[in-house]
Amino acid sequence: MATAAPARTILIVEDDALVRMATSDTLEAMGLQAAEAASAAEAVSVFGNRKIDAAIIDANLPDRNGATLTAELHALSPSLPIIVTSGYSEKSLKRQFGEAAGIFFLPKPFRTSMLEDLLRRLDLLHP
Amino acid sequence: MTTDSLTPAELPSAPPLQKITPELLEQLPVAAALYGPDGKVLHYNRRTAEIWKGCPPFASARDTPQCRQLFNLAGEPLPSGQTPMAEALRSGQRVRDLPLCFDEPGGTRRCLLVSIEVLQDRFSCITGLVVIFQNLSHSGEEERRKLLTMELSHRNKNILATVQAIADLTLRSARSLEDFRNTFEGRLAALSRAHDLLNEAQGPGASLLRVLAEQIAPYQSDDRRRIELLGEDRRLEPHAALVLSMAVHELAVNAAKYGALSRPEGRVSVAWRCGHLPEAKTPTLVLQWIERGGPPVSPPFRRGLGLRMLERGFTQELKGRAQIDFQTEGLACRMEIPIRREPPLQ
Repeated sequence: MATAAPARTILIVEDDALVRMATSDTLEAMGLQAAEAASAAEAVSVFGNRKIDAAIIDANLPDRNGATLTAELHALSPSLPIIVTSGYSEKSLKRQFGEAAGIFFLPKPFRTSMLEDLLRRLDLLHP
Repeated sequence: MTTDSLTPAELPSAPPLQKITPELLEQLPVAAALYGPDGKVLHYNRRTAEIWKGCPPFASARDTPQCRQLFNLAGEPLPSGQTPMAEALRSGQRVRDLPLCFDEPGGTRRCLLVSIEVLQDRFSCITGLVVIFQNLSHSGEEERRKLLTMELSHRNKNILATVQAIADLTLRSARSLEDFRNTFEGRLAALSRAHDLLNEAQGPGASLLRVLAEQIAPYQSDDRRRIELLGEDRRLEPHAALVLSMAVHELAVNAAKYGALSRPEGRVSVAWRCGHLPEAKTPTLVLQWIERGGPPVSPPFRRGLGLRMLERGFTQELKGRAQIDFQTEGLACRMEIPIRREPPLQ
């Protein structure tokens, strides 16, 4: 008998508590699990303790910028899909982050359907 | 052949540190400096010295105090561990045209664009940075305005994201459209009052007394005895002021709906003190919200959004704690905020 695949876990790294909570609730409503971190240091610590399938990272964190954290997470797990969210334009983010594989951009404020589409493209959500 | 298939000996590498001499830097038509892997400034040219009135700041890996305070374009102090140079040393990523500001000895704020090339050896170890400083204040006023507009747009979008989050979260727990409207408007107004306080304050942060007074104002009696504030005023860091504002708003709304403030005879006392808690490394501000005279209290079947926001705000945002106690005689909430540094009251 086939068993349901375990829910994927997405790490949300965001210093705005309300945005983090809302994103976490949205992911859980999609059937995913959410792990939360309010800073880059916390994100690295969570990453070391849980199996993480993808990360949603704010480009500006209180202790490091998102580009530094992205490099750190990719050093630990090169194939980890990372979604960078920011109020800066996508063009400006691409200048900051480069166009490396495994990095995706989602300008703030984003619609739930945009996040859902991206997660589906990354094969983290089942149709 | 891809780069992945090259052996370290075959990999192309940036010029070694030793090849970037003071003479070479002097020949460059821009302000340039060479940093070592430890963040120390090894050489800088005359144009750099003219901009910085001497040596440019070192790139500290940690937030150690620097002799020269750096700022971002919005004028906020930049911890030394978060300068573009420190970030480049940490991440190994090149930087293009990041703004950086500092105060000249006469007090004039000067803004620069910083571009950084990271030097690495064949094993990808960072061996240094070549940093180019481009003056904005004197030669690029238009560019500076463009960057400020970009920064403003970024902040506006972040505020929109916060408002969107408040709407999402409120909608999920709303019992009706009317309930959503009242709660959403109340939360937006609380956030707006907190931002007003931060903008009006002279210096960073806001007065604790004003944070509390602003959020309880809709529920306070004319003689100010319905909600008593007991403690000495002190200045809160901006982030702590925002979290506390939203927390007190949620507590006041809860008290007005279900607690002490739902009855004319009900009272709330908010008392605070600052001290060293056991096992705490820094002083802690402890606030106690205590309700009396309301209907008997029992723990709710499910935690509402307001209480979730309150608990998470203190734990995750401030590395503090909020503990809610549903005592029969009235709700009590203890909030702990670690005080890293205390901006003086002005």
